[in-house]
Amino acid sequence: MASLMIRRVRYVGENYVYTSPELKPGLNIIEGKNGSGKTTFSDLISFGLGIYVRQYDRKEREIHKEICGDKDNYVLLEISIDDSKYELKRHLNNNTIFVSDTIGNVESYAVYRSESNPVIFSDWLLSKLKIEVVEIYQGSRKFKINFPDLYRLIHYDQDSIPRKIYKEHRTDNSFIADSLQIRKVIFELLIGHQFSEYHALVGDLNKLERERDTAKSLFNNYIKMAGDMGYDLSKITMDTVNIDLSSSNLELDKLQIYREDRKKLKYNSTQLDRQLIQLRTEIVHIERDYSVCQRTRRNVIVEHKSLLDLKEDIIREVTHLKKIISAHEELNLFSPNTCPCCLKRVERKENHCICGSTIDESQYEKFFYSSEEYLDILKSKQKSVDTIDIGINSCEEEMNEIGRKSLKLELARDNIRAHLKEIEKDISIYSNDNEVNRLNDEILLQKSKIQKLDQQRIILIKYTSLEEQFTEKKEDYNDLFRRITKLESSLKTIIEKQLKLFNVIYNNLMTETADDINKAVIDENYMPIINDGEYKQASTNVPKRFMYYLTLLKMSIDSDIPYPRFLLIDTPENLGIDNENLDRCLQKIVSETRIDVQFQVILTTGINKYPQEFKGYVRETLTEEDRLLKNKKME
Amino acid sequence: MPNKQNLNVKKRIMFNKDEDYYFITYNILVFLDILGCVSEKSKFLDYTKLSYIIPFISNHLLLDLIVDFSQTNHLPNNEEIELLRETYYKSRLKLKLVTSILFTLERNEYIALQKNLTRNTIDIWIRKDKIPESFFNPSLYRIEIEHTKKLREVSPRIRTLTVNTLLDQLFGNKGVTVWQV
Repeated sequence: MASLMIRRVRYVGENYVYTSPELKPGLNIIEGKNGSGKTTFSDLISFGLGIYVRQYDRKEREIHKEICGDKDNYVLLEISIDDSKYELKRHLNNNTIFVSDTIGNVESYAVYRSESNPVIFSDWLLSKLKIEVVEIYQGSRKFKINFPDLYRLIHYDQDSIPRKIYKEHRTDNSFIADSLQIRKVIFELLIGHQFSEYHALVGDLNKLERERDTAKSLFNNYIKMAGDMGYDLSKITMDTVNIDLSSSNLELDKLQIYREDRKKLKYNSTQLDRQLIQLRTEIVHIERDYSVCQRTRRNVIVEHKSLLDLKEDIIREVTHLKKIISAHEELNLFSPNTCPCCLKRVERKENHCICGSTIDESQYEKFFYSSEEYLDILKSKQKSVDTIDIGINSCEEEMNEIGRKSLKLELARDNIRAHLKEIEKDISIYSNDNEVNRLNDEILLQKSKIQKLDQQRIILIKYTSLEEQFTEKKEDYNDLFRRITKLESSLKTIIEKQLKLFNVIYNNLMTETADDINKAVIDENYMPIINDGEYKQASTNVPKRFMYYLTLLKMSIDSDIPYPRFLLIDTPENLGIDNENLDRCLQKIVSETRIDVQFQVILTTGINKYPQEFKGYVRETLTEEDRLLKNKKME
Repeated sequence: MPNKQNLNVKKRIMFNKDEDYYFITYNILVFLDILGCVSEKSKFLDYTKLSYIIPFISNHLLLDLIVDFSQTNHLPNNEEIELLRETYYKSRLKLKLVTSILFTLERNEYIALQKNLTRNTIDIWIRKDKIPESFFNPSLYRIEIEHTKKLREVSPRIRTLTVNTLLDQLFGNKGVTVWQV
């Protein structure tokens, strides 16, 4: 990735000026006593890079008197990014930065993003540093990670609380900009490769999610609204509405044509009379048929009843026969040899009557029966029961048939009677107004039905389009969600690798700097944990933070990460780091770095508050007499 | 053979239940048995009444008319009166037959007949000891037994009342003209 380097810092105003010596790759030390302008030096660099500097904000209470009191003043930074050189010029009280390259092209960029300034200086700088601008959605708000955010891990300042690691965020009520998520993203952006793409996708996903939710609520609200209006959208379909609509239109056309026809029709008495006569004749015919029907029915009922009676009689006779047979067997009183007068037993010659005359047995008029003959009679009676049953059944069928026929006749008669009544009513009005009025009513009804269907159709169209939109958004969202999930897992492995690397360097630096530290790692929020969290002495916070920055720098030198290989350190000894430790750390950085990779560390510090071997890196020495800002008038 | 068949058919056609001797016999025996006329003491006065009683014992339609009338005072309709009238005539005509059957039964000692000089009637009772025990089969004559009991409820004094009173109860008061000779 790219390396950022400050080559020279200049300040020009009506009253004061300053021009730094040329700053070089590697370590640059600006030494000076307290109040001589060391912090002003780093503030000028920050300001020139488009960072908010509170001391230069006239609205603030503690302001930098000389600079804020100066007029027509600006900061000019000569920088290089990799091999390209640029000049950045920013006026005080002005949020525009002019960027000029070596060929003489000058472009101006706003420092802060607004609707009129969609592209700002940060975008330019990040593009040169090959860091993509990442958009992050939090809730409904959109947030872009800008260079000033990344700068929080590039500028080691004096004011921030060491425990918090990150440089204090400008307090402009933007809680989002300092949220844990954003801080994590800043860290990941600086150590990662592909994270920018990921966050861009997450941004897209959030956008899609909101769009999907909007589409969904729009869709649901529409269903509810339609429901309030009395349409159950789940039950009506476009097809049925269209069919209903076309059939209603057809019906309307028919009615209108028929009405026109009726209007033209004049009352015609002959025709009507003929019709009346015809109808009455029909009624007479029907009545006649009906009465024939009823008569037949009565006959059949009588027949049916007598058949039933007969059947009962025979059944009764059968039971009697059984008893007769039994009595015959038990008592054995009578036989053909019994005298019919006295009923006494007589001796009788064959083929002779009891009176003595010859007779054929079959010619007796009075019989006595044997058991066998009684049984024969019984059987024949039982048989006749079956025959009678057939008769009864056919009677019942006939009755049903007659019933159906008379019902039909009744219906036909009623119809004709109703028809006659209608016609008679029409005659009394003496015109066909009645029918035309009825038609008008029907037409009106049909029209309102069509109107309702039309409305239903419109609602349905809108419903379908909303549903489509919602489905589309949902699918888009799901597609992206899948892509992100896939990307996330691959990113996770990358970041784990990077974190491992970070931890190795950090642990190394920390354990070597302080004797009582044996383990230093960062947790899932990328905040340091020393000795597994047991060590709580406040002074550890200083190296903890300092080494964090150094680790990032070293990582950027050792491996290709987006961190711009630039570190601005403002007077670290003020924070209580003992010299020995600081020396050890700094030496570590300078000594162990590779010569082939360009990097820059600018360190402002007290006079001689650095290892003696670093004497050669001192670029400028500030004293009370020779302060940073030179007063033009005094000179 | 055809002759024989013809005879059978003729006999079958000529069969008339109402005039069948056994039909009359078992109805009389069962009726008197249920009424308890088994000795001289409890004899049935005037046997001619039996001829009129038999149709009611054997046909529930007729009996129902009598029972209905006694319970609801509901007068029979024309059709029913016609039925009753027919029954009366037939019974009257059958009287002779019943008489000869009774004499046969008496000769077989199944019943006893006795002249009643005071009422000028012939009274009757059954001699149960002479009748085969297996004859009185309650399940076979269930209907007759039931009808006898019903009739006794309608006319409790049926055993002793005169034939005229009985005829009035059965036919006269239902609108049938009774001419007793």
